[in-house]
Parts: sequence; C-alpha cells; structure tokens
Amino acid sequence: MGLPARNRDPQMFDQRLKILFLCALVAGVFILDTETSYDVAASGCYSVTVLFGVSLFRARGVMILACICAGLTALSAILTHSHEHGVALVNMLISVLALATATFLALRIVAVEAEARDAQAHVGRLTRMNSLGALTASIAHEINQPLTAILASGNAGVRWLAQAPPRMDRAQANFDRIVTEAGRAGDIIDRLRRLARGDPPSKTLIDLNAAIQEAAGLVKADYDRSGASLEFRLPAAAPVVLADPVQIQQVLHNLLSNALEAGDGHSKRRKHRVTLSCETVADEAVVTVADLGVGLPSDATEKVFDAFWTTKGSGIGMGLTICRSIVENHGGTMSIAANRPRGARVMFSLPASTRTA
Amino acid sequence: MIAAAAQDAEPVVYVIDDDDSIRFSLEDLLGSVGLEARTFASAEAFAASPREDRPACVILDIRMPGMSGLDWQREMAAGKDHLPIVFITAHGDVHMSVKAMKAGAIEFLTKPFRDQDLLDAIREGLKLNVEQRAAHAELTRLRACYGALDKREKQIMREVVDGSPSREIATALGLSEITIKVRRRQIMQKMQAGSIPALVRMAVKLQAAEG
Repeated sequence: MGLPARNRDPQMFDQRLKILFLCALVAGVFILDTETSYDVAASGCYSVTVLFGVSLFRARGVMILACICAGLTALSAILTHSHEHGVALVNMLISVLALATATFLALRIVAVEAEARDAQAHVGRLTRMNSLGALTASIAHEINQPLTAILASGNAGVRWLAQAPPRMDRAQANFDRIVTEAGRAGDIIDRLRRLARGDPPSKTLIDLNAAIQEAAGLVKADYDRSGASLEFRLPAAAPVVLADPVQIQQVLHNLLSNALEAGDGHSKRRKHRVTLSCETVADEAVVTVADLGVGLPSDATEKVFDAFWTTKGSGIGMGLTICRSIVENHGGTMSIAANRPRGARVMFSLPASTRTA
Repeated sequence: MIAAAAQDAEPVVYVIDDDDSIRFSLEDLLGSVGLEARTFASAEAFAASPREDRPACVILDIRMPGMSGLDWQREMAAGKDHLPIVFITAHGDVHMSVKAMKAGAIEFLTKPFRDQDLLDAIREGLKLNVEQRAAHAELTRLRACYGALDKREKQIMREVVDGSPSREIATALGLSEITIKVRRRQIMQKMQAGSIPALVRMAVKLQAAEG
C-alpha cells in the first residue's frame, strides 16, 4: 500500500521476468498440445496463464491474452497429430470453457483491484485537502495581520492628511508602515506559492536550517494559539541536502502539526514543548522532532507508518505514511521512538550533500 | 448624569494585541481621530498596568498567547474593573463571537475590519463607560450621603420611603410628630433630595447596589 515507489528498477526487472515466464508457459502449452497426441489435453493449462496475467495486465490485456490462448487452442486442435478429431474437439471445447471461466474470474479480480486503487487515490486526495485546509486557515491568519495593519494605517494616513494643516510627518509614518506590511504579506504569499502543488518535484540543494525555520514559521500561529513552545537545536553549520523543497516542507509541516496535536490533552499549567533539532551524523543529516505529548502505545512504533493507522479521533492515518515515503524517495529513513520523559520523537535522515546550498 | 458625562476626563483606549504592527497602526489610527491610545502586547501586561481614572474602552485580540481574550473578559467581568471590550480577531469564528457578545462585548470585528466600524464601536464603548462611571460616581455620592445619616434618621427614611405618613412614623417609633417632621427635613437636606419621589429613587438605587 501507500505511494508508488520511486525506485522502479527492481520492479521493472520483476515485470519483465514475469512476462517472459508467461510467454514460456503459453509457448510450452502450445507445443505440448501440437506436438503430442493427447488431443489438446494440455490446453486446460491456458486458464492458469490467464489467472497469472492478472498480476501483469489490466482488463484489456487479460482479454487479449484469453483470446490468444483460445486461438492457440484451436490452432493446436487443427495441427495436432490426432487420430480422433472428435476427442480433440471436445477437449478444445472444455479448454475454451475453462478459459472463459478463468477470464471471467480474472476480470473480476482486475475490477476489484481497480476499485481499491480508486479508493486509495480518493483517500490521498482527502489527505491533501485536509492538510491544505489546515494550511489555508493558518495562512489566512498570517495574511490577515498585515492586511489589518495596512488598512488601519491607510485610513490613519488619510485622516492625518485631511487635517488642517495636513500632518505630513504622521502620514509619512503610515505610508512607511503600509510598505513594510505589504512586503510582509507578499512574503507570506511567496511562501504559499512555493508550498502549493503544481510545481514538478525538483531536487535542489536545501539548507536544512532554513527549511526548518520556514516550516516553523508556518505553524507558529497554531503553536502560539495553543500556548505550546517550539525550541530549536540547530547546528551553526547548516546541513545541506539534495531534495525537493516542497516535499521536505510537507514532511516538516506534518511532523510539527502532529507534535502539537500530541499535546492537546495538556493542562494549562504543564506547558507543551516541542523540540526541533538537526545534526549531521557521518554523511547524513538527521532531523528530530520531539514532543512532550501523549506519546504512543509501546507496540506502535512501526504501525504508525502503516496507511490508515491513527491515534487521532479525526485523522485518517495517512500523514506519516506519506512522510516516510517522501523521505525514502530521497534515499533517507524515518523512524519513531518514545521520548524521555514522555511523548514521542520522530527522526528522519537524508543523505547530506557535500556541496553548499 | 449628562452633566457628569460632560465633565468626565479625556477618554483613553487600551489596545491589546500580540502583533506589533497591529498595535502601532491602531494607535496611529486612533490618534488621527484625536483619541489617545495605550498599547499592550498581552492581557497580562495590561492587567499589571495601573488603571487611570478616565473613561476607557478596550480593543482586544481574542486569540493571543498566554491568557486568551475570552478568559480575560470572564476574569474582568468577575472583578470590579469591567471596561467595555471591542474584540478583534483574525479568525471568523462564529462560536467565539457568540460567546464574546453574550458575555457583554460591544462588538466583534473580523480582521481586516473597516476603520469606521472600529471607531463606531469604540465611541459606543466609551459612551457606555462614561455612563457606567457617572452611575458609579452617583452611587458613591449617595452612599456618602446615606452614611452621614444617624441610626434614627435611617429608620425614619425607611418609613418615609415606604410611604408612611409622619403621624404613623411617630407612633411606630414613639416620637412626637413634630420631631419626625424636623428629622424628615434634615434627611432631605443630608441626602440632597429635592422631593419625596427623588428620595425614593435614591433609596431604590442604594438598595439595588446592595442587592
């Protein structure tokens, strides 16, 4: 389950091997039928090839394969060194019947698989919409602040100018503030645009410290609202990785949101704290998000990465699944462990680049 | 009361928002219409600052780190220090706005808001506070006057307010009718009441404040 793996080479190899095996099977049955004098008795084996074809082809491919098999059965029946064509005909009919049944079953399997794929795609869309919704709300809040300042400053400026005599100095101060605040709003839009989907994934050299700060900036409003604090332990020399900045942002955003939600049950007295650290170990950059939240059941450290596994009432359990597949597609690893004295710590590593960002 | 309002000190607006730029711009906006503003980055900072004896109104961001706007509104309503509040928020949260309005907020504005909406709300808040202060001053004055009455006068005043004629009061308290009449005049003077209906109104106010 989960996202399609990026490294397709082993899969492609596997695929080719299967097709080769299929061809050999079909050819073998055909030769056996044609060359022996058992009145195409082996043609029943074609049903096996059709069922096997399910793992390789979609509905149309399976149908074509079934037709080829039926055609070959007929051809064998004509070419075979049989003395009794009646027996061959009956055998052929039995084989074709078996083939039809197998094809029917195979098509059902294909349809069910397609349905499962659709459902999974639907869940993927839901996840994207959910995280997009949360992101939109936090961005709306961020943009509203400078917008409010701009509106109030603009009005104040107009009023200062309308006074007799006009207060140029006060108006000027307001115009300056409008320019600054418009810039602030622009920066937020800029960040949003970079986070938005549509850009093809492209790996560039990323300064991990900066990426972490940027992700933290996006969730800051949520943390402030919950009264949770976010601490950084970043190295002076920022690790540089070759990665897709949007996807890495997605991972960081997801982990930071999870860490915040883990502290939901906290009393006001005991403040929820999340620590974000980053370090270079050997030739890998390791990012750790540790929280003092509810933690995880002891047997859940691997399950959390399974699709649809969730501890949240409203979650659908795809967040960490997607995160891990993103990290693994970048040649890294992701793991989760218990944090001391409580809570959870999620770690992910990415191969460090020797070049500088 | 109207006279008291006209005599009241210059009003002040307290702006409480954790965002620097919002505080600065609102302070300037208020300044441009001749309203003095004091700004605070948190409800705690405002609570810790000394309160001035002048009409005031609070502009409060409903969602802030530390004490939330709603918590603070609840706390302030419980104490004596209840200033009119105009809430501002970056989230159009209907549930929150209903709670705030039910708890007596003047207005609930969603950022970004029209400046006129804010200024109207502030004027309304200040007007309300001037009235509250005048009522409070009046009550303080009444209490002082009432406190100046001796025990017997308080007794007589209660009877008068209840509508008993002097003869009945005299009988009830075992005093002469003349004494009661003299005492009644003294009570009217001490309470600065021009008429019996005025005295009754004062008694009602005092009783309401005690209740």
